[in-house]
Amino acid sequence: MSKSTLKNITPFIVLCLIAGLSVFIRTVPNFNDGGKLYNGADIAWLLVATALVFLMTPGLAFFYGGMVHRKNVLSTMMKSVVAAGIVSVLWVVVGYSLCFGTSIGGIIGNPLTHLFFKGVGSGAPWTLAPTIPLMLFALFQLMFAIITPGLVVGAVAERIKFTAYTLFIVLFSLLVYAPIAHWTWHPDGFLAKMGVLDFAGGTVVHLSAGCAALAGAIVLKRRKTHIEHREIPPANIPYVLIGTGLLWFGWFGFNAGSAGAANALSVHAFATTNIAAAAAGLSWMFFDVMKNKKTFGTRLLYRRGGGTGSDYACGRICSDPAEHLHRCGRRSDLQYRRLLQIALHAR
Amino acid sequence: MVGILMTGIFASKAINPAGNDGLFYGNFSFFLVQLKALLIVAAYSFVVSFLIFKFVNFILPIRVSSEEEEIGLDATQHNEKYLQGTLLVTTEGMVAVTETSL
Repeated sequence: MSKSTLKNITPFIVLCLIAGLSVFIRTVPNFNDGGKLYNGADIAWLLVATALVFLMTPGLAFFYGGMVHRKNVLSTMMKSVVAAGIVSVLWVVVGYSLCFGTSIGGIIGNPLTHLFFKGVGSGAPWTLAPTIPLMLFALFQLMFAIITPGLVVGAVAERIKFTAYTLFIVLFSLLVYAPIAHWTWHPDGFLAKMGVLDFAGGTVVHLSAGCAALAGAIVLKRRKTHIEHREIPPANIPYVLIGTGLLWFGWFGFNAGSAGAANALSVHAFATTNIAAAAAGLSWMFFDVMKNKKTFGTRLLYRRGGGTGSDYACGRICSDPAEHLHRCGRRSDLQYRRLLQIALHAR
Repeated sequence: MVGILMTGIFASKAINPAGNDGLFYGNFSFFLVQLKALLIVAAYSFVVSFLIFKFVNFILPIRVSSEEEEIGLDATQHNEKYLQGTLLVTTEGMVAVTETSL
């Protein structure tokens, strides 16, 4: 075994310190709802939805991993999946509290409110999800926080250092994700007070990740193969299909779970998710047809983009297919640019 | 981005009473709110992420070296190698290349 340097040991020591500190958090009994507040059906659905959203992160790994050059497949997948570890720990320590702790001027949550998940098990249900335990709400939100930095991978794939990327995940979660989630989803957040609506993370997750991806691509600059106009054969298109399938599947939890309960609204969101994804997928296919391309290849898989549009809106929009076609057909936001960066050159 | 604006246009209280009515239902002010949120969040997340990337780049080079990029990140970052099927079949049904060196 090679000798360990201080640099190698530091991350592990930090993790040990965190584990050590958590011992000092007092154990308190779980919140007693007196048999009145909780709804079994809501809890069951949110548990499933939380697991569904988690599945999107490995799905994302397959999605991106299949599109890069074969020599970068594992590193690309690893960058998406490692967020599940990093963000989970961060979330328990301080992330949840920054997002949903007592508001400090509508800008950020007080990190001390739920430091080390203090008072999450024993707390009363969240005001916007009154029929499920607070802990479940916190875990559901955790899955969103995990997938967000994972979304950035596409823009920095094939050229960013793994260590640099893990550091980025930590900083992004604390400095970008947490404030924006607080502004938008905490009732005292300043965007929430303005009346901004974001049902399932279109602003918090996708807009922030899209902008971060653009920033990352600008700082890192283009990849060599791209500059030299060399063709990069995608490693494994079936992986992309697996990833798309998992994402679409997970999206039902992402959107329908965001209703915070098992009710008509969540069913509505479920329907909208499917319609939007289907319409967006078809839009892409027809764009290809218009350009007289024979193969639909990876582009067919971009139906994924439609799911994003539906995040904002699925809980609030009439599910009239025409509207969705209109909405998705004109889709040309940052996420599309980010996908283009990989995919057009991967083809 | 399209989604956040479309929510400003097509949102309906009939679907979610906790929500609001959009432009399509004659509520222009809500559309403006969504537009403002879009600009604020996009600007904030871009600028801060940009600074984070610059900061990370400052304390350790963010991009792999040119040689490492050429060899691939699986080998240089993780000491791993991704192998997939070693037999490729052409459209004529003939066995083609194994393990291309691309």
